[in-house]
Amino acid sequence: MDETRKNEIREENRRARNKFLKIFVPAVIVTLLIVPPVVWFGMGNRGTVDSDSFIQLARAVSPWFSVVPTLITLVVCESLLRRSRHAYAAWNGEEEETMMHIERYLNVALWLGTVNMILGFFSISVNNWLTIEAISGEAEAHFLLRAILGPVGMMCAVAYNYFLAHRIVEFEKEMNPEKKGSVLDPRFNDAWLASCDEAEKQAAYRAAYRSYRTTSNVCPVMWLLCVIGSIFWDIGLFPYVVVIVIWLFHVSSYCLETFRHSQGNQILL
Amino acid sequence: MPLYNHLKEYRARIGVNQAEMGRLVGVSRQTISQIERGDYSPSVTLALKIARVFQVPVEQIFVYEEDCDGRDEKK
Repeated sequence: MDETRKNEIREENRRARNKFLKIFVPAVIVTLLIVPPVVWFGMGNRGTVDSDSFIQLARAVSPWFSVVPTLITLVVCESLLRRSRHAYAAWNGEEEETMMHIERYLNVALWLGTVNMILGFFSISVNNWLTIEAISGEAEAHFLLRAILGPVGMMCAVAYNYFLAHRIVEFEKEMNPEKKGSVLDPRFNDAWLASCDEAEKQAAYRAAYRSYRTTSNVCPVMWLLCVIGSIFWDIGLFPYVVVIVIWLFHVSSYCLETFRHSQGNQILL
Repeated sequence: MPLYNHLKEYRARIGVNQAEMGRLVGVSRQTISQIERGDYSPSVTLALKIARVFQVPVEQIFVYEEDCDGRDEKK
């Protein structure tokens, strides 16, 4: 490496180091000033996650937690899908803004459907937790309502998400005849990506990279929340394990994939 | 984006819309639209396919910005 290049690297590292120190030093100072009193306060006032008031609130909300969002999602997504259909029917074949609106509507609908499905999974988790926790004080009718609406709501959320995705994919295939794949096929993602052209693949890869960067930032935040939670409540070790496992899989799959591509798809160990 | 293109003009000359152009070169209508807007630079393969459709050299359709500046200076 020649001297000019070495100096460039040295200068780049110096500038980056200064920026890093401007964030790192204050963070260390704040941590040293705040954490000891918080820990002292938390340890002296430690409660449990499953306090009575929290259980009461969860019981009151849980029967409706998957049903109401699913109904809202259904109304909103059907409206978006209908608007997209009308816009496409009126499209003149050239105007770009109409197609951009249609793509936006469909993306929002897909996102809402997926978020609703995830909330459905969360709802059933809350339901299970409430069932395992002591049920004293809960009226039998309310227990039955929760026991029925919880799983039904979740199944409706999952089923609607698949139904919505299927219709959106069919609509996309109608607008773009070269697209292939069925939502019901386990290998749908592969088939769809294979039918995308170079620009669409590049957009997918960029989105995946952005998702990787976001998750890389979220994982340490989740770990920190576990640490803070463990100061005030007895959350056990399991939340840490879940966060760390996700973090490990996330980073490892990315590194393995980049290594695989740099070696021409051959893994050399 | 340093790459300019005259794709829209050439497309108008032969009277095809974006979707038809996409079918001719094997890409989606959105990709043709992105190329025309300058939001996407096609690969060499795609640029050559596009040029072949109009039967002109690829440099007549896609112009690199520095070349554009050079021509302006010569004028």
